[in-house]
Amino acid sequence: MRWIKEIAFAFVALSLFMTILQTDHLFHYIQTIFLFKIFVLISIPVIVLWIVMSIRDYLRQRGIFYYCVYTFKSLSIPRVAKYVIVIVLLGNFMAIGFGKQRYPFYDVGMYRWPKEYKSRDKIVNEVKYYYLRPDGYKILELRKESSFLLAEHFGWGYSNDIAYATTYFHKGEKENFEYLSDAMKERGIDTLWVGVHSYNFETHEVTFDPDICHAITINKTADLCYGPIYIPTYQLEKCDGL
Amino acid sequence: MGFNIRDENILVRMQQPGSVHQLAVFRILLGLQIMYSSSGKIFQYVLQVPDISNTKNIFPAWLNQWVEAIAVPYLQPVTQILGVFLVLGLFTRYILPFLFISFMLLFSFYFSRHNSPHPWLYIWFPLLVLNFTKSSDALSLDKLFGLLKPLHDASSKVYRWPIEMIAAWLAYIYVAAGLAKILPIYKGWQWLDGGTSQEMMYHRFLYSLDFYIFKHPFFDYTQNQWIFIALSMASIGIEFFCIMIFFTRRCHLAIFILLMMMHFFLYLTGVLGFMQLALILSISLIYPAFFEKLFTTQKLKSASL
Repeated sequence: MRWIKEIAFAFVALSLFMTILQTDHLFHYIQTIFLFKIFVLISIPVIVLWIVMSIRDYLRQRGIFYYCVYTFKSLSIPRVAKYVIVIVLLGNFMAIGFGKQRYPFYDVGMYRWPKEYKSRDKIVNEVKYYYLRPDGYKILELRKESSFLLAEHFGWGYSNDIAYATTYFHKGEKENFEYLSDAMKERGIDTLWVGVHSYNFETHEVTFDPDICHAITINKTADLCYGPIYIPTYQLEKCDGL
Repeated sequence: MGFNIRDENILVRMQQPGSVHQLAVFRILLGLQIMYSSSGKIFQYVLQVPDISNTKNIFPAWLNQWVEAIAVPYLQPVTQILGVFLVLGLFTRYILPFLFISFMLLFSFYFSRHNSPHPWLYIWFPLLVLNFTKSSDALSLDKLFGLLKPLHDASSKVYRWPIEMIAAWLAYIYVAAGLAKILPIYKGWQWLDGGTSQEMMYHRFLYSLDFYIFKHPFFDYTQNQWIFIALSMASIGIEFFCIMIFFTRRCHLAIFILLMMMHFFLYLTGVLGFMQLALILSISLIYPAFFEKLFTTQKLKSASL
């Protein structure tokens, strides 16, 4: 029971400490936001108390911190491995504490900053590349390509990383388009166009609009995942003046 | 479910019997993952697209410049080849330091241009730990060719501590992910309003496996805030539950099931890639005796034939 209390207290104190560490413009907020000033004034004694109690327990050779250090030291694992583990532990602890990453130490904060919940349009639009075939059009589903079972164009090597990069992260870059365009040319597809893929959450209707000029408008105006896509110059020129 | 932290915590477990086969299976799976990850075309891709990630690493500038030049022509093939050696368990003790260095440098190049922790975050520390272990004492060419002398005791505790370290790494990844969502404290509640889950599911629906396979969302992503709140709370709950790995092994099965459920759901909704890595690290959550039983039974079967 004592251990659980110690862990819970450490969790609270460290959460407060990390909150202070992760606040950019700390002094500005202390000066301008009264509630934040109160928060800091309450946090500091709690953190100090935790540090004092932890040091006192360690010196008296009791408590969870002392137990961990003592047991870890006594483990029959290679001495170098122990040093390495401690370095990695400290590195990651700092990354988590400051909420910042410095490869290879990582705070695992990919989804750190929250998005606000809101009522969204019943129709979700996404702009995607497609190409023409004798029997119509075919959407280049980049996310699908990283699946062994669903891939239609790219094979081994087109893993989740590159699927993520081409679909989201770099979708607005000209070089991303050029990379994809070159890869498709190698597969006998000369021209990629941008069209609008839509889903209606009310009617469950899925549509794809290959109208290249409409795609340009949607690309500029719609709320799109990771922003607008790069539209090739030849598509823009075709719609110029329309 | 009562348990005694003092007797069941991870430091105590590190001194208990392990399994030579468990460590060997992990070595093989990690090697396969390294081969797969280092074969990706992402390295050639990030050379072509502009660098917008603005990430930092611990290496000095001159080393980063050097890595930029050698990453694709040298580090990538070297990592692939050494990955094959790791899978085969050939010259394991000698190749592991080089594999670790080449992997770290290759993925520092990757991370410098592509701000994603996939897949290096799951791999680098377990790979580092393997450097200090006798991971090729079983299921390896080193053993087959007599290049090493395995311990007589296949259940020695020498095989246990690395596995527990890998379990600790798994716990760190998820607990840190949970902490990142609630810290700083004043924005933690915002995370729980479900907006992030909604944004991800709404916008990624047309890129998700759920769409590709079933064509229908699980529910209407434009509303139903309570479901998004529940999903956000569940994700944080599951991530924090992983802290139990440090205190007891009684929750390992529950943690494994919950993690797989979470990753499978994310997989369907368009966040791919992490499930495979979580599965590999989850080898460390299996009780070592299971592997000894499995491989001893196989040996007995082949002997009786």
